[in-house]
Amino acid sequence: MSKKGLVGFGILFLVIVAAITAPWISPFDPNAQDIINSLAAPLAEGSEGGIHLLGTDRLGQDVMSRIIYGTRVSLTVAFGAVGVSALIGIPLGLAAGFMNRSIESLVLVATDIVLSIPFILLALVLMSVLGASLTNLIIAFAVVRWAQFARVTYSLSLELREKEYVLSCKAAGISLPRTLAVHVLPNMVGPLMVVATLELAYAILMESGLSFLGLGAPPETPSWGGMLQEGRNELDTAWWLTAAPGIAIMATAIGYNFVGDWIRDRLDPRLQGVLR
Amino acid sequence: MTDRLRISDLKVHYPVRKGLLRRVVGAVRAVDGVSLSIPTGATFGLVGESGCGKSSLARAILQLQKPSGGRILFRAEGQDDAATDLTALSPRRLRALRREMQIVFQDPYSALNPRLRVKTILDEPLRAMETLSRAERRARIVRSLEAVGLTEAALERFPHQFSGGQRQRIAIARALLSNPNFIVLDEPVSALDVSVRAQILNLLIQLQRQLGLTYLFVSHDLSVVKYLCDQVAIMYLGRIVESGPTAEIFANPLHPYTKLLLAAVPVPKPRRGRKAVKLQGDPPSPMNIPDGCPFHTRCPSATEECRKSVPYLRELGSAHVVACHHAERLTAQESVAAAGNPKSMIPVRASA
Repeated sequence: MSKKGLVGFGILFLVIVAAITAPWISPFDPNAQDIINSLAAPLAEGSEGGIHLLGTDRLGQDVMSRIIYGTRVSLTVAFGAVGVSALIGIPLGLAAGFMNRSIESLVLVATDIVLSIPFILLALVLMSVLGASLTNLIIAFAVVRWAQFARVTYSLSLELREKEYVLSCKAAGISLPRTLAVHVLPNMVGPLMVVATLELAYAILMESGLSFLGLGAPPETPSWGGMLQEGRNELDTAWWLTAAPGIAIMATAIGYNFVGDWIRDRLDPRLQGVLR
Repeated sequence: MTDRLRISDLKVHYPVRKGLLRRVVGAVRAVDGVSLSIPTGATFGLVGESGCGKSSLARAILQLQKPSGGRILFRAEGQDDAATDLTALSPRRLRALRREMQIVFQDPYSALNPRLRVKTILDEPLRAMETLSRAERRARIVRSLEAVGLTEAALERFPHQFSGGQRQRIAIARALLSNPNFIVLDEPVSALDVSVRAQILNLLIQLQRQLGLTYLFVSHDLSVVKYLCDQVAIMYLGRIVESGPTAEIFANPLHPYTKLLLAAVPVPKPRRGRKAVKLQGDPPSPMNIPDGCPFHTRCPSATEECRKSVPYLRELGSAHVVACHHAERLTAQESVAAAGNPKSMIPVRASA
């Protein structure tokens, strides 16, 4: 495996482990307030013992614990949003590629329209209409990003529908749904995985962005974007409030991108053997 | 002998769309009015350069590509003559008929799904075509594999574990699963090594004898066609320009295009007794087929008449048809030239 791939999978692994084991590995309760220790610097000692590794915020909440709990929001939103987008986009892309021309034009026009709208703007409108919650974050993402999956699936369909093994399914009278499920989709898994990892990184950035604007996760849930937004006011006195979630967001997004790159390189036949 | 397949005036046009509204601005006329009939049990060769529409024709026959016009009459099981019009069948009836006609593709690498084991590759079409129990299907699959010279050991393996020739055998086994009586062979040996070609061709001949199959053999390789086919049709720009019994076509070609194709066939001893004739240029685009005879742009003997009027297929000799205004005149001229001046045909070493 390449170094890049290792780093990517390493980050992804850390985030997943942190999300699962958050109650056990967090040094403090993420929502426990300790007003005396407000805005304590990293490595400061807590009033009831324990060390605030990454300091505390204005309410005296432990930043480290909130970062660890933040992985849950980050992962839920990212995988939920990408999963729902894929569930909408892939069938539409297949329909465009394998059914009649009017369906094809309909899907293609819809993807073009959706992808031409500035994403954050549309998400903003949706979130302010639907209200801030994790479910709505996932919906807002899927409403826009299904188009990415649809487009990639469609272009893969154009190639696969001319493949002779797909034609021979038709020659044997294998039904279209079965042809797609057994003979076409498995051959799309690789490229679609690449899209999915890139979209994961995108979803994390979107969650943070919307939380930063106050339209993401509800305030009581610790989320990286929300922490950035709260830390913004303290930027000149308590740098750790923005640096910690900022680095977490960046590292996770880079991790997903690296994993995506690695899968893509693995699938590119021209690079086979060179990379191993 | 009755016909297994009779095609009349078959057309396959692909629309060309342009602009925002994807309006149809023209058509690629891949197959433009082809008629032919294939006798039951025969091997019918379809020859032409790449892009002449031979694969489109092959796919249209099996309804893999919807024809834009014409009729395809097929002699189904229990019928005495080609009587079922494939172009007019309901999807359900067409599905039921698919078991009687199958196809083997050119590229054995893309013909088999790389992600499936051979047993699944063979089981999938079989369960779509026949209602059989699992054990019956397995027996049928093994029988098919053995018919093409493979064993049960192949079942658990993936396509990439086989050589090109073995893959083509698997593709042929797949075509045989449902006991079809008609198989389209779309350049089945073109992608194979020369050493494997003969094996596959002999396998096809042997299967035809055993099972009474009718073949449509699509190829650009005239030497293979000569070896395998009873009848040949030469295709150019979506039309048949000459057709007849193989021996007759090879011995006495009438269309200038056929003559040029035959002259281009490589022979084992290249310096002996052959005139070097080359076919100049590329065929015109099937989007923009020239007026008159489609071949006049490259024909060495084209006249004004060829540029203006389309030659239709006429019968010259028994079952030998040709679409050329000047077929008789050109052939007569050539035999005179050959008799009168042998040096023009056979280069003789200059003697001092």
